[in-house]
Amino acid sequence: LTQIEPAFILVYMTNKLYSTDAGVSLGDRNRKRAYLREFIPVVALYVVAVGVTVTIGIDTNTTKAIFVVATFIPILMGVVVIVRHLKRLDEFERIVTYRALAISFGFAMVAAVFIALLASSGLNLNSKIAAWAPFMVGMSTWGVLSARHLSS
Amino acid sequence: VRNQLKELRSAQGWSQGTLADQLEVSRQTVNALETGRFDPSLPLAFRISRLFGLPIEQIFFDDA
Repeated sequence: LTQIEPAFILVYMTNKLYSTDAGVSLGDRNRKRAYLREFIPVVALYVVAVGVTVTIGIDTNTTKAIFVVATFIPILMGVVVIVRHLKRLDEFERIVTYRALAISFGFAMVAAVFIALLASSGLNLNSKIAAWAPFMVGMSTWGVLSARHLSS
Repeated sequence: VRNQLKELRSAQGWSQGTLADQLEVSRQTVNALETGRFDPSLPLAFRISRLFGLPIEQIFFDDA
């Protein structure tokens, strides 16, 4: 399950870019649908890849390599979907989103350096949490900043 | 830059969503324009100008 969670967080965070209580225009709805139409199959593929590889078992070097490749391909596809989505944004959304991306990149880098320093100091970190921390921090920051500016 | 986008939109009886669709932007963008949180690019300003049939300087005003 820990391998699946980040994918769902990604969908939730990027989906928040368009969420609003005050209604959406036809164009907003079409763009959201186009995004979800592309992103949901990628997430499904990711879940299937994790499910299949976990079922087979991740105990040998070969199965570990298969797990990494099988799960990384949907992640790359997800990146392509997000880039396509960013291209569909209008000028205001693009400014807000890119600014949020820049700030979240900074936060992710700070988290990565912090974890690296902790590891260098010899502190025994939970390696799984440490590995995902920069991603979590970056995505959370991106989601919060984007939602804050685009939720009105 | 101040603007009278909200007044012009209201005069037409349009919702923010309707105006957003006509300008091919998101409703959030229309909201940001109306509340002065965002100044449009020149191409968007020209689209707004064409839509309302008014020169840009009658829609957007300098803050100073």
